[in-house]
Amino acid sequence: MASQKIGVFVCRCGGNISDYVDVEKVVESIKGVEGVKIARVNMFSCSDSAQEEMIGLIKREGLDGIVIASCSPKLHLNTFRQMAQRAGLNPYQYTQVNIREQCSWTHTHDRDGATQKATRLVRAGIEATRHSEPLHPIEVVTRPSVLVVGAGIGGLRAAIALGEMGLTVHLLEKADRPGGLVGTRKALFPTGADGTSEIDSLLQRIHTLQNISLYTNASLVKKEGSIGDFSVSIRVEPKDGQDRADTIQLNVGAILVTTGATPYVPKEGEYGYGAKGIVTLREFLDLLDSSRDSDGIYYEGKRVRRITYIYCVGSRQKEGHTYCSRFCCSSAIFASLEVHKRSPDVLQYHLYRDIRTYGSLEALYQRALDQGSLFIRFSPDSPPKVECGHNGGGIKVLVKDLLTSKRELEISSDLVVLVTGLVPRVEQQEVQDVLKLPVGIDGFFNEIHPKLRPVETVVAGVYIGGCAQGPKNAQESVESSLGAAAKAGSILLKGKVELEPFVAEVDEGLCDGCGQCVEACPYDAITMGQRSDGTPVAVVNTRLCKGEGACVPVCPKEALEIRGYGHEKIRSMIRGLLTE
Amino acid sequence: MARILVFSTNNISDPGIDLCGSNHMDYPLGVSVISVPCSSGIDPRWILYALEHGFDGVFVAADGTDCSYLQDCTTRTGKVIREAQELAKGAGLDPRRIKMAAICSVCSEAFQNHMKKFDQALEELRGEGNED
Amino acid sequence: MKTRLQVDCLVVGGGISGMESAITLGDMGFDVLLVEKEASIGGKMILLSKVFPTLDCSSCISTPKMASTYNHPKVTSFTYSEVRSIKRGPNGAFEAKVIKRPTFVDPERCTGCGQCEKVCTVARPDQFNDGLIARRAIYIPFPQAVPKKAVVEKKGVSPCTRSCPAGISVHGMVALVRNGRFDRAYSRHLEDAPFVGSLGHLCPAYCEMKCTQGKKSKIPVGIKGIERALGYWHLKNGGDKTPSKSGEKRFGIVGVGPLALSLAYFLAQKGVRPLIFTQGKRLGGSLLDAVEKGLLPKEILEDDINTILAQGVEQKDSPENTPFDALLEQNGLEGLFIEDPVRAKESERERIFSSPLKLDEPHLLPHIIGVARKISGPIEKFLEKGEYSLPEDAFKGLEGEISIQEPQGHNEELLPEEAQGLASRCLDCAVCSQCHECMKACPANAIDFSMEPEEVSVTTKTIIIATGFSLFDPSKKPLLGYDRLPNVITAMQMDRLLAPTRPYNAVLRPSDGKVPGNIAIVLCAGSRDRTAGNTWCSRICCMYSIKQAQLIMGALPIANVTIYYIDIRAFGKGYEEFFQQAKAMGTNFVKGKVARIEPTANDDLYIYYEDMERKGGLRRQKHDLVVLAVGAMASPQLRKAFMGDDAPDVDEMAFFSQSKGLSEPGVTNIEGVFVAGSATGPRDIPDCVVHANACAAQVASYLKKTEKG
Repeated sequence: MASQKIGVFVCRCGGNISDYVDVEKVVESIKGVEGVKIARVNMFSCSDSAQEEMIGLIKREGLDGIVIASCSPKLHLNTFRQMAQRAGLNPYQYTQVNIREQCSWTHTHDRDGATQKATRLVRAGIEATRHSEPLHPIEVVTRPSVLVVGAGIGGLRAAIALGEMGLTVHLLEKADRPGGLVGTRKALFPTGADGTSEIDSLLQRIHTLQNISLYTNASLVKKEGSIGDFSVSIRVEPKDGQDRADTIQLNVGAILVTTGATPYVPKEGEYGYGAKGIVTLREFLDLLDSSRDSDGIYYEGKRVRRITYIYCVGSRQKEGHTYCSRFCCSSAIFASLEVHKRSPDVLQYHLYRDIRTYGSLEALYQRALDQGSLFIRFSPDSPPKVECGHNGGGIKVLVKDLLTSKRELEISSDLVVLVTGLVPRVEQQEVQDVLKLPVGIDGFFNEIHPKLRPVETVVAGVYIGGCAQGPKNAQESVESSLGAAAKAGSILLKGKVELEPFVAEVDEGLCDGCGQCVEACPYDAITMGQRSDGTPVAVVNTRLCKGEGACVPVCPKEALEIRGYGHEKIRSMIRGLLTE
Repeated sequence: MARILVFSTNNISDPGIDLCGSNHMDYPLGVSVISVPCSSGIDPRWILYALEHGFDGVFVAADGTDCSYLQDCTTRTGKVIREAQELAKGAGLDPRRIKMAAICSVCSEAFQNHMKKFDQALEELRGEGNED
Repeated sequence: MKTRLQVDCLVVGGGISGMESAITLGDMGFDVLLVEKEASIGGKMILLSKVFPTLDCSSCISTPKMASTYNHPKVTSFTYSEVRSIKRGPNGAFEAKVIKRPTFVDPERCTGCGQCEKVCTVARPDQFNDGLIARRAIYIPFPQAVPKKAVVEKKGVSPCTRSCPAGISVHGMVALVRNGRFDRAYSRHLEDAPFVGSLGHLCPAYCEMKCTQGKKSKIPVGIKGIERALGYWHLKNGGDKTPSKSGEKRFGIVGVGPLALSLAYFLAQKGVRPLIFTQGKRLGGSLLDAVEKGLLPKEILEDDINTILAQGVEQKDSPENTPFDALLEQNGLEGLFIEDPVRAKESERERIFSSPLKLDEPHLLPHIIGVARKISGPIEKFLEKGEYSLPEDAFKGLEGEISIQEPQGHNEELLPEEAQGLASRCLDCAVCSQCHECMKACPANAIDFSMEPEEVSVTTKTIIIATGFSLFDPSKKPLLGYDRLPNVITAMQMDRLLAPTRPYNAVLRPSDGKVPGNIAIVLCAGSRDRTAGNTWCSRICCMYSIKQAQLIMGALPIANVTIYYIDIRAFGKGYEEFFQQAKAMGTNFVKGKVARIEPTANDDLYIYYEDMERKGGLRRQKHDLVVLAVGAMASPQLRKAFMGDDAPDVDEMAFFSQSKGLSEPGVTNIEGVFVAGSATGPRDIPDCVVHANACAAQVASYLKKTEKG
């Protein structure tokens, strides 16, 4: 029910308003306006004494709505909403009219004009309160369980955090064993930490936590529901001795996507790839990992004495993979330090564009320089050429060195390492289809906002972590997956989420079921339902609605409005502003 | 003095408009603001209503690229404006009485300039109207 | 005042990382206390113009985050506060002492209107504009501040003020004169003490002996001259003569010297109606001798006495030997003060006060005023409540002979402009000058100089260190010329010049306000540089410089921007594309290490750099503005708060260490202590937000685990 007994309080703000606006006159001119029961001037509306006085008046006079004309709502909206609540009013039946920042302070040279404007603004505020319905925050009950898709280092670590928070965790891994890219690596930059044992210790922790279930050979095939209450189906591929895949139904409150990325594989012939002696970074790391105890570097049985690294293979391209893969510079340089450790006499040439050992990783680069690695800068306009010798002869790399006036150097090499970056996984498509997650032009899943909400997606309750969002190193993958776990925890740990009440609302009497709002909603919050007589009608899922109102202007019948910003309220505010 | 209705947004353009006040920057007295959550949710019919009931112009202080709800906020708000202009034409009103610009939370100067120019433009439009 | 608080997590630092972890933990249902040392939360991010790689407005992202932190039902925010000490309590939780520094502004009353800033007499470099412009001693940090409340920067009491026996707010007077507000300076002096002009001639000027400027440059601020000038100013211009309060209680004073007059003055100020019995003498006492000796111009003394009388002091000429009882009875007095201690002995009884010492020497004037002030309070109390006592310390130090040289010389008249010149040398030692202009201007009566630090004892299960980083001080690299060349600025200053809330409303170069046309950005200023003590890369500079290049080209379409770099490190999501965009817009990228910067004749600058491409060798290029892309340095001060052996480890660059390996980001070597964001090392905003949330996850796991036992 809309407010009929409204109290209007016009603030002097100790002169900040009353020096430029005749506040008494404002009060006089709105007395008798429909719905206004009392109108007063306050010296400082925000002061304790004024608040107590207003609370007293609200109770004594039985007011059912208030308008305070004072400063910007940015400063005191909450103060006065709380005051309204203390007085027993619904906080949303309070309107703050900004007659300081938007009136007295902007029109300091025309007292009459400013007074008239303040009066108009207050009239609009009265209309707003008159057309305000009591609103209540939307409470969404959440299930204390999470689905984590992808059991690489990020997914594993996030699962542990969620498990330790006391939430039930279902951890899915597409492959037959967890661990992802890190699980196969012996030495990770910058410390040389052993990836396999890191993964092992995470797995041990997972086994000690009763509330985490790990499913391997499993994939997400279906999702229904919304934030706080999803129901998902996962398919577990048959194990030995089984002939049928299992489908498991789960109910979870949130979903984490930690599906990772995959190393770029050069095209046949790209920098000679495919020929003997030309390997990707991943293959080179495998080679180092598989021969950790050897004191030299051997490739196919032959001792390697000259290694040439070509950076940015499959990254920073003019077209396609335009992005930088972030981890590869540090990874390749770290590998070259390992080579030096085993065999200091190996000559190492790094053909690079920019060395991106950011932050403390710079120490790796400095060490490589100190140890005699040669760094040669090339331009993307004239990339190095790799010429393979015949019959297993040496490989020649030709490069135009930018430092020495683009003189072409010829580097004969026993091994050429193509420093390859990361690209989105092909399997990601399934998850994308099921969860309807948007991807960026780089092909990775997109966060909703890189700074405000870097692990959240447009689908409420679905979070992204690790390389699924973009290339990262192992620790960064852990960080962003833990970040996603934190956000999941923030909606699940209390068992409920309170959302702002300003969501879309359908007037069933007006809706003709045209469905344009369904199209317009960016959050899939509107679906077509049915009335009892079978006719179609729009239905808003208040859990998903963010209240931005994109559906409002498209509805031909004005059947949709955002609570607190209804058509009639706005129109009467417009009329209020026009009443002299 | 032209009567200008500004639709502004709670989180992005409102603070920019408030900043004008904090800095005591003057803009025409005929400007009044109604705030909504996001400029994509402004109904073209409200704009028409405002013009038909006495406002000389309507200015939408849009979220632009700073919108926290929508990446395509500008496109959507642009569509709202175009539709409102169509509605205005249909009602025999000059579509130039409707304007939009992105105003961010610190765009006090930009807002002041827009208001001064729009006020002037509306005065000129009124002049044109009188000649008819 | 002491209060106690119990929380699940204490977050130290209210920048983007601190705010983010606090909000996430609050949403999870934990009780959080966030402590920020500045007067607003928001950290460095709120000061930035636009942010890479999306070029969205930093304020638009920060402001809602600041509001949701501040209004979060589970998060308490203390601004202008610091964590003094942290130690582990018996049950494993931490006991932290948090000091809420006095803001001298009642936050409940302050409406953020900023009128106080307009009248404040003290300017300080504005830390929120990286020193590009000045703010006032009382200030609202910046337009989007949360909370938007003024604070006063006040560092105790200035030595001049502290040394004054008359209790004059010397610094306040000087600051008002510096601002040309002679009327306010004169009345501010009167609030503390009468005899403005006489003091300007006779005072031994202890204040000048204590003046910091005097200690630094051998020549103190000419405070006595300023005071003298005020006396002459008042003589010519007059001023407010309305009595301060009109009282009913009458009090008699026998005597005509400075003690009698001062006491009458102070009592009148307190609302008492003083009646001076002159007993045939002229008002002035020994000050009249000073006039005779040529130490004090007659008209100055007369003006001072008239000012005192104008406060509502009456005088009466009764015969010299009238008994005190009779004076009391006949005039309806409630009490009497006898200036001459010898005469006072005639009658020792209730209702009659006197000085134990004879205090009537011209050079003792400031002491005499001080005594009068000190005894005026007890007399007022006596008149109200009938309690009869004089403070013993009122006469302390005055019993014996006070050896002060007779004042001499320097008694010539001073013009207001000359005084203003003298006052401009004041260093504002205590920052706030106590001129009290803000108190008079504040419509909400919010200024309260009696505020004291508040100590809050906080019991917390966990701590998140989110104290961020500091920017490299480029004066540590003298060859870059930051200290000597006005047109060499820091990147933070450039960001302020580009922000819509910027100081000059345009991108201008400092030396002459010219719009620059050929701007250089020098990367790795204080990063990747052994000589600067920082061998690491600072991670953020490449990207913010690329952003600035794009914004500069937007603001100054004809300007050329050259970025001198070693490697361009555009490694984050969308960063490489942002770099390519800057190139396509025409930013000139030069691979070269800048060796030194030298001035040209017209304030332009030569950059000498080692060309790492093209021709090589040391080359020279001319620019009209140079921006130093200063790096991110550690800010480990919080370590000192940790008592015992419990201080968290730092790495070789003094950033807080994440000691537990790659799977445990945010975890330090101390159980229950976590670290978030750029306190762990340089990080950009997205990386800070992600890390702060990871840290929140760690804290939540820890809290839930310890809950279970």
